[in-house]
Amino acid sequence: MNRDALRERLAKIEGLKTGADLLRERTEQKNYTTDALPGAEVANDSGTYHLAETRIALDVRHGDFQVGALLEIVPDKIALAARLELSDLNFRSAVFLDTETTSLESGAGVHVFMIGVGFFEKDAFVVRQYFMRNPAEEVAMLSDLGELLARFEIAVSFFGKNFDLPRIVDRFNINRLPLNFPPVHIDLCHTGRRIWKGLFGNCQLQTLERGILKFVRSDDLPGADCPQAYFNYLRGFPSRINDVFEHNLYDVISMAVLPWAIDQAMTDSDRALVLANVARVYAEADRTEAAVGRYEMALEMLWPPTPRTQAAVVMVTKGLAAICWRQEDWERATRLWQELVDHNLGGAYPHERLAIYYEHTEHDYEMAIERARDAYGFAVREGSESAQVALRVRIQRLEAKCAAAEAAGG
Amino acid sequence: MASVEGIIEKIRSTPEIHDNIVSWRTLKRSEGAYADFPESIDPRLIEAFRMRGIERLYSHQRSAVDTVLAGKDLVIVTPTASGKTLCYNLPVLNAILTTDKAKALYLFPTKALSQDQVAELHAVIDGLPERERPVYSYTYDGDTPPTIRKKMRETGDIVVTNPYMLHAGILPNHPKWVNLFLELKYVVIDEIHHYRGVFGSHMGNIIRRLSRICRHYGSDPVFICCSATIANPCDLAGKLIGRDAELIHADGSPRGEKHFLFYNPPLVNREMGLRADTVGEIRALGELLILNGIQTIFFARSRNEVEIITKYLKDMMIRHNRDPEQIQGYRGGYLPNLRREIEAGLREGEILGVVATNALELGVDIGSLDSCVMTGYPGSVASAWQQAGRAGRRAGTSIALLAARNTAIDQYIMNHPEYFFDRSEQNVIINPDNDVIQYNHVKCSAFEVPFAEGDHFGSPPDAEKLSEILQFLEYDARILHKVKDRWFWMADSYPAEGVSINAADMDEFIIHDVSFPEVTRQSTLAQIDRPSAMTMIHPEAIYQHQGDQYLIEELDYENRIAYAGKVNVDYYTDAETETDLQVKHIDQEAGQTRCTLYHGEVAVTTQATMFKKIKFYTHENVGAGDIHLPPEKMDTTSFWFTLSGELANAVRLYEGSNSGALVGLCYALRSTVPLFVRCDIGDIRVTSESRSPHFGLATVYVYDNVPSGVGLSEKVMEIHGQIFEAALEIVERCECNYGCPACVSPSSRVGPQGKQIATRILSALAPPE
Repeated sequence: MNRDALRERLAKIEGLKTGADLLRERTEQKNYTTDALPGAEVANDSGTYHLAETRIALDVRHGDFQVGALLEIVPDKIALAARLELSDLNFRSAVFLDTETTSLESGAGVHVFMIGVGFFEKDAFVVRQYFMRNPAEEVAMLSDLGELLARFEIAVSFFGKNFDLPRIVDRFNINRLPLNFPPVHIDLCHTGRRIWKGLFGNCQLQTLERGILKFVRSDDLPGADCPQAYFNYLRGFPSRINDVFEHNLYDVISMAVLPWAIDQAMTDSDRALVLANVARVYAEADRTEAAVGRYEMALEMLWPPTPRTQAAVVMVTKGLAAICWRQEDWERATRLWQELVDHNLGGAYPHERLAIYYEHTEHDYEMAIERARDAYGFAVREGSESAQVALRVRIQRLEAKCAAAEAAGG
Repeated sequence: MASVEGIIEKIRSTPEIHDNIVSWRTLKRSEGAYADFPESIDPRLIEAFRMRGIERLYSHQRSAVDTVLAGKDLVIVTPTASGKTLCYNLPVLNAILTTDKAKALYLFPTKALSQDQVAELHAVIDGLPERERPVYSYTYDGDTPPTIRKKMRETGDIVVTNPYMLHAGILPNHPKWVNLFLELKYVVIDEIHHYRGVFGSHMGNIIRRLSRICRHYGSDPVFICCSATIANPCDLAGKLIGRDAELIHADGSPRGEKHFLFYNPPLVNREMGLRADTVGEIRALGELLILNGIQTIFFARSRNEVEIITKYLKDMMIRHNRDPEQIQGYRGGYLPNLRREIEAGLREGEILGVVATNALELGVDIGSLDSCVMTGYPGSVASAWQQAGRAGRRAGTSIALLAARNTAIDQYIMNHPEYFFDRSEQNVIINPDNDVIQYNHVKCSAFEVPFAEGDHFGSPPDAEKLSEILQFLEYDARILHKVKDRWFWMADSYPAEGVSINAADMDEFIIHDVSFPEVTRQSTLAQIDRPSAMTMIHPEAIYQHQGDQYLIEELDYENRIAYAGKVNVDYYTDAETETDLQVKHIDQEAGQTRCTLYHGEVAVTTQATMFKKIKFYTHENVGAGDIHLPPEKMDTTSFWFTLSGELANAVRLYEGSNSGALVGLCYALRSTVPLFVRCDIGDIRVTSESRSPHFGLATVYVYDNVPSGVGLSEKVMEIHGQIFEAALEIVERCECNYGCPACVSPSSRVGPQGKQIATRILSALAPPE
């Protein structure tokens, strides 16, 4: 089979038109100009790559916050929110990290072409953007990056546990380079979701930027377009590569400011939902007092329930009642569940809790059966098989107990 | 109760049975040849094998182990139950024990098979003395939970998987398997005779990808291949692993005496060529065996047939006041618990008869039985031996009985026991250099490890083709980016996902079930490859799925979606196609007096023309319709031959309906080819032209049913003499008058003179005795 025949057949398989000879010439002419890029070429034993360094004074504002604000606070609340058992969390030994990759998929063919890392120096927040101008520069880039990362105790990322870190590990593995990633990893995506869940449509970095930090990007290149911008750059069309640098830079800066906003939220908030979310964080950490106070404030702000707030009311009531239950404050716990029942909120849940209460604490089986039957009605409507089974068992047991009590009494 | 010997006597002395036995071979008992464990084997391992009752090795095991220890690739060809797995488990475990870091990868063609082998492997591992670090072996397949996957990647010494997971899961993610690849010392490819045709051609490329990744990490594993008996083990292994493998084939395991019987059901209608129903005959044979306490395994050809035979045998037990539970079916679809119970019942002798679909679905742990009955030839000599191997203990006599069906292949086997016993070997053909298949794997491989200038992927003469493909991927597809002599993957995609390793052509239609319009999310009923779409899911077709019928209400050809609604009708549809072949290039030509033989490239155009509605059971034609769908076009390789004008005239081919004889000729050839070239029935097609536009002569084509071909037709060209001869035998020996399914197909298709003319043509083609 001759050369063109093979090419045409392959084109048919891929659904392509052949004749991209223009590109062939263009690519053959290209040279990797650094003129278009911020920063400068760096050389080491493994070759060259490109590095852009941006120094940001600590008092520069990023939305409503100062870039260096994080250094002013005691970070114990952040540690709590991030579920870290760490007394001496020091953001001076933290590296804030965000990668740009050629695909959202994973696998050996996915390249990390840019890694933005930020860290605090004495008087500035420094962002270094490691960039490979072509994939042959990867080893040089990664070896310097690896050396830098080894200096830090803590890594801070946004969804990095699931996305950035596995891809970085892959690239180091492929190139047989050692990676000393910081032993502590705070993933602000998970932490942020704990604090701000339900406040906005989602908890993506840019959503939190706008909603919490009040920072609005103009002309931002969407993350999904970054791979294509890089491919175009490689093929000699560099026009959008600067936008990738900018996009990555803002991501890193936002990561440095978000923990401060988390600390704020953990301290105080005028938003009922944030109070409720934070209360739950405290409750999970057995900080009962802090949790109860916030739940109460939140409930007060949310009351009376409206269609908009009822989901939050249920969540707060559940959380608060659970604490009361644990503290054996039956009266308050049952009152809270009864409030839900009275407002027709929370489905099967408050009915079931009340059934448990009447069965085991009051030993009032008649009342318990009534509640359990109501709960079963909701469970059927909610379509939860397991709840239905559990309730059927409970009702049967209660019926037996009733019968036994009647026999004994009669 | 009778002994096996007693039953053999009984068979000999019962004319109703004995008269139908067309061949009776007695395979002699053999003592076995033994050897000691090699000295370099870790004593802890020898002890573990001793605990499993293995005191010494069979001679072939010793040669295999020696070859592996010498670092040479090898292919082991030995019969069932000859201790094949030890050939690889021993050197692999030895390397792990003595080096503490060697890793191995085990590949099995199916998941079911790997589970059985792992059980055996684990039994040996469990017998090893406690170590600081135990030997970890894991199975990696679709069911492996994510937590185990992580552990397996980090600590697994032996990773067991299948081609699908290797292709789509492990290779593209090799950085996550870095621990495995850095220390990979052995790659075991078991059951290589399964890697045939398209599947095998993909497998060859997957191994090329694996080898490139190993080279990247600096490892160079030894390949250990195992195969059932085939004609070309070295050739096949060589094509799979990309280098020469040493052959180990002398079997040193002991065997008891085995009686191999060919049973041909009697003719009940000579003119129509009808024979007694095979399943009915099996019932009578089963009665003889089971009621005499002979533990027997029955192999059926389909799951449905398993159920039918099981029912017959259970009913027979009840009639004789015996426990029907002593008969059990065993097939895919049964739950694992039930399977394990049946296996235990067989081992312990509580179950007398088991009915199974094929040997592969069986656990290895059923032990060996007294006798084996096969309903019909299982399609290849290797599978038949594999099934027969289920009967036969190391000592003592066993029976294997092959009961024929009324098909051309089965009848050929009945008439040619020497084909089965003496040459008994088929070629397994693969072509990893098939353009389309290779292209797809070059793509996958480029994702995994960048290609460099001067690299090769497969046989070295292909270096130029590789560079063509890479340039195409760089410039036309814009998937690769070249820097400093290396091509890097630069695209937002995951190529392995789009490459299905079972079919060469990946284009698929989705069939949506629209039976429930109120369900807004459409559920997918099935997927079907594009070439099959025009006959299976054309508008108004009845698509059969799990015993239900669905009417194709609409076919969105452009978007590859068919909409099907469940219906309750008493007919099915059968589409007719017209195939047009155009000869594009002749590679080989061999002229003979009565015919000329060719091999070359053809363009095949297949067009569905119409469909018939056919009533179930009665096969009445109850309606018809036209099909208007784009034709399927494919470039492939073909063997073909033209009949000389003199020959055509001599047999009066052009008179009346006589040209139907060519249809009969195609039918006979299509049945015959798989006897000599191991392939799936769908892998080849045979078609004819009474006057080819290209040659002006009657022409018959045998072509690879895969774009670019996988080498099947080439093999047909090479051994055409044998194939013609066998086809002639099949047709001549068949006792029907005017054609039947066992020879050229019925006269309604080939015309009243069809059989006779086809026979004359074949005798003109077949080489003189």
